[in-house]
Amino acid sequence: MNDEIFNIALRNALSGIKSSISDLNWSFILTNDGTVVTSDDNPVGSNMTHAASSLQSLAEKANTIGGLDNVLINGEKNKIYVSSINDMYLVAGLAKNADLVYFRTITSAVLPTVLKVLDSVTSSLAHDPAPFKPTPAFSFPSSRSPKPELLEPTSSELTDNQEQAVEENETPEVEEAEETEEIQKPTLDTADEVDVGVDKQPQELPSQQLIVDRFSGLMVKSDTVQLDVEILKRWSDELNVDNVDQVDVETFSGKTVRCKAKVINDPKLEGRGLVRIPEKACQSLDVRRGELVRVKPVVPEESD
Amino acid sequence: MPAPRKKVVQVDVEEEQVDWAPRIEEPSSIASLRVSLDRIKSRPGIIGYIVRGPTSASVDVKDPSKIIDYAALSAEAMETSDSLSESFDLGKVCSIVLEGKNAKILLFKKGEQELTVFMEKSVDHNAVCKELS
Repeated sequence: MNDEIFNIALRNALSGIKSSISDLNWSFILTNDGTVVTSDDNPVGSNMTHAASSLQSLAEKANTIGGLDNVLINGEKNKIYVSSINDMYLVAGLAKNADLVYFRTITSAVLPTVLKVLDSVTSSLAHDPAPFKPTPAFSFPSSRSPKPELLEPTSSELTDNQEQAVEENETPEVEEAEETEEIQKPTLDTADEVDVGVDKQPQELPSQQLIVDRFSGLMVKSDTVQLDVEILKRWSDELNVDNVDQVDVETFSGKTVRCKAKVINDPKLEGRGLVRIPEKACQSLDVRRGELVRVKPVVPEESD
Repeated sequence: MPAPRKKVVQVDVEEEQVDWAPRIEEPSSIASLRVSLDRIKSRPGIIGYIVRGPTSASVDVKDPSKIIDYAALSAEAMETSDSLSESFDLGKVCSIVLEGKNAKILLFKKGEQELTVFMEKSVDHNAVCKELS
């Protein structure tokens, strides 16, 4: 079961990375047990097994230089970049002129985070034998009404709830809801750190992990972040509102800031899965460029 | 009184060469490559190099106990890159950079010669590649 979850999550991560890097032709992950994990739209499937065995023997020989950290093969047409991530290898086929720094930034932020989240999820599943069910991305409007006991729990409350779930033999619905909570918010911090002005929202709100791009300037408002137009449009469609004007930016250390949301005004940065955060907001969130944050839309209050 | 004549002494520098590879007449381009390699090797952070030709190979590594390991790694890296290039249609391989926890190696072909330069991770391998190409 754990392997299955790992593979699905890694496959989705690879698909996400591919969609955000136009110069990435294909990619697959070689896990430490020899499994090859790849995205569904990988055009090089048949060659992966052969490549995997070549890389494994190279990794063995690389003990001379302290193990294989990364390999770059520059070809006349394309290039291959292999990087070590938590005892696994990410193998990527890139265009000849691909921006390797950008690729490294994204992969080094996304994959370790996915693996870390998976570790925490699977370890909690080990304690709770309830079957894992994938969390729906968004269930609206039937489950929109907030469940007070599940909203914004502290990390200590989460742990307590998990223990209670095992001890008190609760109903399956409640267990499932708690699992959902864990997966969506793997590193919730204490409520004290959350902005006092932040309203509690239903947990089923759409959210997305995005890569931080810091920006600054004379005319930059420190309370306004920039997002892809597609993301804002999708959220407004899902929430059935005209515009998403505000978002909550949440770091994996639990810090949250509510900001106004605008569309990314630099065409070069569109569609790359970025959230552009002003320098001051970055400082208050304690995030740096290239790190991952979770961005959630704020539902405007109904005015009737 | 005539000035004393300066005595010119010519010293032939013996390169370390594996005993199983026959020494052949080197064209001038290969000789200049060796000169470049020797110059680079004296720089801080460079661990050594391996040059493999069709009929000969020479190894110059600071730590002789690692010569076999380095040679095996170099050959494996070259083989892997050829294999991956063929599998994934990379075209002719221009260069390979293999980075480990302690050191990194740069591999590329120059004519019929396969060059492998071992260096510390702080060394700019692009500059080394540019100088030797």
